[in-house]
Amino acid sequence: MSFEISEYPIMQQLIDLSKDRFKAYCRGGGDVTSEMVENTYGLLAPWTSIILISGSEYRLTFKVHFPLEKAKGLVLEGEAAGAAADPIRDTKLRARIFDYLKEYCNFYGGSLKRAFADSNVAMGISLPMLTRGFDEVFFPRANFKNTFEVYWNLKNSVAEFRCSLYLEATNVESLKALNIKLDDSNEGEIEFL
Amino acid sequence: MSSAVKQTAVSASNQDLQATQQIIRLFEVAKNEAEESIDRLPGIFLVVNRRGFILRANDYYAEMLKTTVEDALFANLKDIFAEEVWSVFLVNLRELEDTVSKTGDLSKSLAFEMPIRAANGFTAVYLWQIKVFSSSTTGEKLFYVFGQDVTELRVKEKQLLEIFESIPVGIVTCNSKGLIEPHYSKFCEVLFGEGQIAGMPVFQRVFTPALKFMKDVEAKGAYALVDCLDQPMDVYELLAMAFPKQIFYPNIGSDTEGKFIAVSYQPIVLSAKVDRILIMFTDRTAIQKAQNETDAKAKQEEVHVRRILEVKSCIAEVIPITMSEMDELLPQIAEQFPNGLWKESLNPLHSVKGNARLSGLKTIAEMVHELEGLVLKIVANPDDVERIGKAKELFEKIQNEWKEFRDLFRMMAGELGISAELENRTSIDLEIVQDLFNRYNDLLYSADKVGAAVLRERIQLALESANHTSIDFIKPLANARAKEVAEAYDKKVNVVFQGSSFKIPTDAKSIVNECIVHLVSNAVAHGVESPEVRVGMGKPAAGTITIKYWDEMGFTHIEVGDDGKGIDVERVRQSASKKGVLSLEESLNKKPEEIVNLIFAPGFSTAEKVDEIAGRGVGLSAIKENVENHSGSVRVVSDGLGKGTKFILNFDTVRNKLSKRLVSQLDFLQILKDNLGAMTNRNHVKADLHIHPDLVKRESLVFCDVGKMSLALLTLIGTTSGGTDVDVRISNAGDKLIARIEPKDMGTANATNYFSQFPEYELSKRSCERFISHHQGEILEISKGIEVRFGYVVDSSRIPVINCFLQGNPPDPLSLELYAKIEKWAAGLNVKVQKIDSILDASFVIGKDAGDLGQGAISNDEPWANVRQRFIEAVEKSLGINRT
Repeated sequence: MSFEISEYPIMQQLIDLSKDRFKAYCRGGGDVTSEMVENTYGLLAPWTSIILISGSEYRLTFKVHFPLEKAKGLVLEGEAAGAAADPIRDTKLRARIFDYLKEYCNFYGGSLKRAFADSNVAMGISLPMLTRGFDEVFFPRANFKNTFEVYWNLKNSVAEFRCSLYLEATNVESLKALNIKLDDSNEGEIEFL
Repeated sequence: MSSAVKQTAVSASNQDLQATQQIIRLFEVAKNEAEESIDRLPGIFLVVNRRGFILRANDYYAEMLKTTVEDALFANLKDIFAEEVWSVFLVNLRELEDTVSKTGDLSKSLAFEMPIRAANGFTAVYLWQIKVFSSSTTGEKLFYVFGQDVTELRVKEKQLLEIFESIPVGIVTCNSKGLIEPHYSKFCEVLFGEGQIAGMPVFQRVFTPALKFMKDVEAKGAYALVDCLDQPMDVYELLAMAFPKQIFYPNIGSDTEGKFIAVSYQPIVLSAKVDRILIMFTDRTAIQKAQNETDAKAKQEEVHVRRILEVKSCIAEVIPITMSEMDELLPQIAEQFPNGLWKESLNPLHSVKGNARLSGLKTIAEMVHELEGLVLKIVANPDDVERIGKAKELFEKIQNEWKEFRDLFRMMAGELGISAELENRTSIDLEIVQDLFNRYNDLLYSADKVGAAVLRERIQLALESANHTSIDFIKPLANARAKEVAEAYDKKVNVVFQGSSFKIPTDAKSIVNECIVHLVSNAVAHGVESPEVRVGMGKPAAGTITIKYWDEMGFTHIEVGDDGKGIDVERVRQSASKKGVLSLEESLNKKPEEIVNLIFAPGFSTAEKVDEIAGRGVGLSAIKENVENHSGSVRVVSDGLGKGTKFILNFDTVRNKLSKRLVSQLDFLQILKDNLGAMTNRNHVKADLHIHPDLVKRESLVFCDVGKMSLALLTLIGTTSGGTDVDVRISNAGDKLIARIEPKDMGTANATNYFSQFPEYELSKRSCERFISHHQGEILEISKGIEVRFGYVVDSSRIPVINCFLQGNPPDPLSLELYAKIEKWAAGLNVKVQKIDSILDASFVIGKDAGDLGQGAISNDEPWANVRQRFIEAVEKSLGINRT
């Protein structure tokens, strides 16, 4: 449903969380820009990492939509991230990117779960998963008035990807009032082998 | 719940979670493998929205566009198509979308071919298949797009199609509606001579033009071709037995020119029924033509063998006569047919048939018999164009057939034992004569006058020998014919010959031959009774045909008699009246001997049955006409019923020769042309020869006796001896030919004096007298001197003709008056008088000073009584009337 994000502070908090986690954990995350985007085609990128955060009142699906080419800077440094790096054909590089962005989702989900817990809202998180961006067209949407969906772009000096959040609330009014406390502790960059 | 229990529950929950995690990972791996399988598909796999934006592309597509699957995302499919092609593609998407929307059937798909522009710039043809589904997220209709590059396949198909179309075999498939399907070999158009034949009914296009050349069963088979479509195989196999295996496909507007096309059929079976039929056509025209030629050659050889066998079975002795007859009669008929002289052709036709039968040429005899039947019908209805055409065609065949037999006779002459007979006698004679004359010439210029006289006699004998033949040739003829007819009529006959051998001019053989054949046939067929009847009458079972012959002063007499039933005078009288030969009243006034001679009337026959041997009433009429044309006569004598019949023939063989010689104008001129090379035109030929004067008067004799030989002889003499110039003039006076040989530039009196010094003159005079006695009615005047002038009569009326030359140009009135008087007077005597332009050809010269020219001249001032008397004497003398 279309909605005014100003009426739902929680939505902005969730977006900010993604930005915050990007800053906190991703390479070159210091200068992160974010902007809202439209989902014109029903999908946003070739690849999608996804995690479900679900409780009795809320169910959120957070997805990171990315093309490999624009995400490779997350796992490669300097010249290594240049044009010669081909994550489409280089399956190992591709796997690292996939793991990285799945882990990013996991951090996002974990942070959100903790924040909800701190606000006395019990939530569970799923395993992060990676799938084709095209699969998006098969994801069912509940056509209810209490569903909210937002898309935004995150970009820093080494990478760019899009995020989406799909939220279902059993009680919209309580959602308006929901205000979670985000943990601003820095757990350090995600490191991968 | 104790903490231990709690701990256990948490631990179990974690285990569940891990298990779930494991299975999800498995699915994730499987999903990824499946996706990668799609990526590696050997063709385009895309998911597009209804505007063509790509939501999923595989590696194949990315590589084709030299991009990556990631970059291909959200690109538009239209970029790979030409604008107009993309429009069609979109229409197809919309069409499928509409169909699925209306039916709700997501299994619907659409397949079509469209070219794309590949990144390398080449155009490739793709086979596209599209299916539609709905996005779960947005509900929007999306499309799976599968694309397979069929460029190479199509190129190969095209190559195959080109090969298919260019092979020299016509191949079409006929669909279940009997229509020719789109792909057929181009050779079909060559065979059937038309552009596009696709969609046309196979029966109409292929078989209709050929129907009229098919046998009934093949035509039915052609109709059944369409009937067997959509039928079980056993029905097809049954009907296919009647399908035409070869057809003749005519060219447009022709019934004779066209193609021979072999046809074979192959059913295409679906679900145990004949769905379509593949039909193959092979052009067998060349093969068929070769086959036809081979067959024709075989047939020709067969005919040739048949002819050889026929020739071998021929009676050898008769062959030369047959050849001579045929060579004379067929050209005669060939002149009659185009001029519509059908009735006139009956007699020569009958003679041809008789000759053919006699010698054993059954084929020609049968053909002529058929032709006779046609001609008789044409005579009854001269406007019967169809029969006239058939008659002419048949006659041409007969001529060709005769030509074949004639060649065979010559080729097989040695085997048949007739070589000598068939050799060109003239050339041999010329050789002999040349030798003799060379020697004679020498003797003439020597003192040995006796030797010259002896040699002259030898020359005379040689010439006679060379151009005469023994009358004995009639024996095998008569025997053969009698035997043949007797067998045909189941009778018995013996032939008896009475007479001493003598010679007749070779040219006379044909008429004698013809008479013998016809009269013997007639005697056996109609005269001699059957053995049973004869025995019943107290006669011997075998009849006797008696043939008597003798020679008397150049006349040949032949009697053909039988001891059969004789001629029933009353029956002849009735038949003649019935056939309109003469009225009943006239017939009653005729004497019996006159009545019996009516059997020679054209179309007269008392026979009730017509067969090849007798019965059409043509034979005896032909005999009479031919005999009379050869200066002869024929009559029949019958002493009454049961006492036999006798045909009596008289031939003036010498005159016959002269007549033939003179009427043979074209031959004569041709000989002149061949021998002298001096023909100036067809009607008047002047030949100047250098000839020994002593031979000139004898030339008159030679000229009369040996016919064509004389000119060859003259040529021979002219080229081998010098001497006084002699004029040979051949001129045409109306339908008559006038010939004269005389010393050049020598007056009659001088010539007389000149030649009288030679002893041969007397001989020549006697010869001339003999000649004259045999040519009554033809020679109107014998001038003094060595000249023998022929005021001949050779036309069919046989009226004496007197040629008069009127002096002066224009003739003086008195001469004209005198001529008119002569003409009037001559008419009363049934003598024809005509003006001619040349004094040389004149029997009489009329004019003021003509008296000085001698006996053949009439002066204007001569009293009419004298003139008339002279004419009477001349005519009477020429007709052999001796008043004393």
